[in-house]
Amino acid sequence: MRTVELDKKLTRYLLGKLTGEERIEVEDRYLSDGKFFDELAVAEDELIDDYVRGELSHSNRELFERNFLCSTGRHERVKSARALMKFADTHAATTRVSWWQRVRSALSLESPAMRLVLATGFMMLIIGGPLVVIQMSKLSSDLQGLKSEQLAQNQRETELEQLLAQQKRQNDELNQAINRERGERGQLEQEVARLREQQAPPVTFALGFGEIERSKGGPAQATKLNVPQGIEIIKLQLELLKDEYENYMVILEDAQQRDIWRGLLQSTKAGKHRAVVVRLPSRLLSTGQYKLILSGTNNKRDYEVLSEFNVDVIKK
Amino acid sequence: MMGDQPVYKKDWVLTGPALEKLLACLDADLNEAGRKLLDIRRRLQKFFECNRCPDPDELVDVTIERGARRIDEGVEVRELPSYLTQIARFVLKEHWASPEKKMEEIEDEGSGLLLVSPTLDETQNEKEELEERLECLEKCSGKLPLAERQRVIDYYYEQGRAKIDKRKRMADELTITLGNLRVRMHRTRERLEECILDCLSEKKRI
Repeated sequence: MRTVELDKKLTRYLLGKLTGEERIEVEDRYLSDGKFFDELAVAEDELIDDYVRGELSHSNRELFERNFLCSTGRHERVKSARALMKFADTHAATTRVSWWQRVRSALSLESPAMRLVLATGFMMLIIGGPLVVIQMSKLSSDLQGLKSEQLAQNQRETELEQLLAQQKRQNDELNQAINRERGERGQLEQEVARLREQQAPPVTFALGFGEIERSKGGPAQATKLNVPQGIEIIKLQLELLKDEYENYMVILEDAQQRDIWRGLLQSTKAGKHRAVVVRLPSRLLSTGQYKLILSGTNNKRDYEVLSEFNVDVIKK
Repeated sequence: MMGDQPVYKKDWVLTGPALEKLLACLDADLNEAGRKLLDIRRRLQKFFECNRCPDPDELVDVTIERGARRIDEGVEVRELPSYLTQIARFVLKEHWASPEKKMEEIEDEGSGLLLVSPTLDETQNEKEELEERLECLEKCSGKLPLAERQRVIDYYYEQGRAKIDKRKRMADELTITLGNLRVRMHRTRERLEECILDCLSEKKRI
């Protein structure tokens, strides 16, 4: 059932205004429910029409241009909507011609009232004409000034954007280097943790296949990890359905999706399956929700995300 | 998430038998399965588009191919649409993590300025393009039944409050709900948009 609230929510989704959780909820619904998908398609039509008709608020217009107009398909849809509006306006005007003709005949020169209106207008034109010309010339010079000011402003904005782009590129390169180093440091930490296992036995949790392999029977919800006091290392076993990569990257994210640890690891035999075993220092974790993202790589540069593991850590 | 460029198992290609296995997960009837796959495709396409992917079709292909690969490798899938949804979320994560994506974002931000102040040439081009599109729309709307063509005009003509009242009246006349009228008009619009694109590419060929 379509409601105003639903319309608003879908519009907010299309403009990129929903929170992460709300987005996932909307996406899960339209990916599984055909009727809801239709509602979304209708909301998209109406959003495009409002944009074309100039009925969006300034901020929504900006969001539309920044977030919604992201693909050539959508640009095409906006152009077609413009044509559709013009088509409807033109043809609706044609079908209303009899009404228009009535108005026009009332304004014809044969009408005495119309003759009086025209005569008055003519007099005003003679008197007010020069004043209007002066005013127009002033307005035109003001407009010219505004135009050159806008051009200069655009130039400044372009320069700033280029500078920003350059800085972002450098930042990305730096981030990649840092992430690679963090992965390798995580690998070294694993070695140290393995050696420490004899003196400080870890607590071990088997997390199954993770969320992508749910159809194989892996856990769909978060696994509870009860971590006893005094434990230094938490050992997590991430099972692999297929061991087809030389290396695996494990990323630990906290509830705010912050990347708090990463390690580049190899698979190992664990019972019937192959698995990636992660040894995490328990000081990294406090009571709360975390997510482990497992990706595979054969060249330490290109990765494929394989599965996700949601865990609820309870520290005693 | 990851700073490195993702890759999608390029050494694996979707073979006929792998596609058949994928379709078998959807329906025993091949035609029905094909229709369902097209439906999933449309939804996934929207999903990627709504997540600001400039080329959603490419990512839909990656998702479906990866699903087919897993099934071909022996993964038992009970609910293919939700399985593909999960894969799509991972593919999206990989897409967001790619440095190319980040650069596109920056370029997008830069091009946003052009929307604010188009040059005279651009305005002229837009005008000509709109005229061409209108010509195509006239042709395409001519293929609709007369009553449906008139409905398109009535539905898209008014603005603001008048538009809402008009649409309610139209729904009443057709004895359907306003929601159903909206969906019906969306389907007609989709057909028109498709026809316009075909017409434009036909014009370019000439």
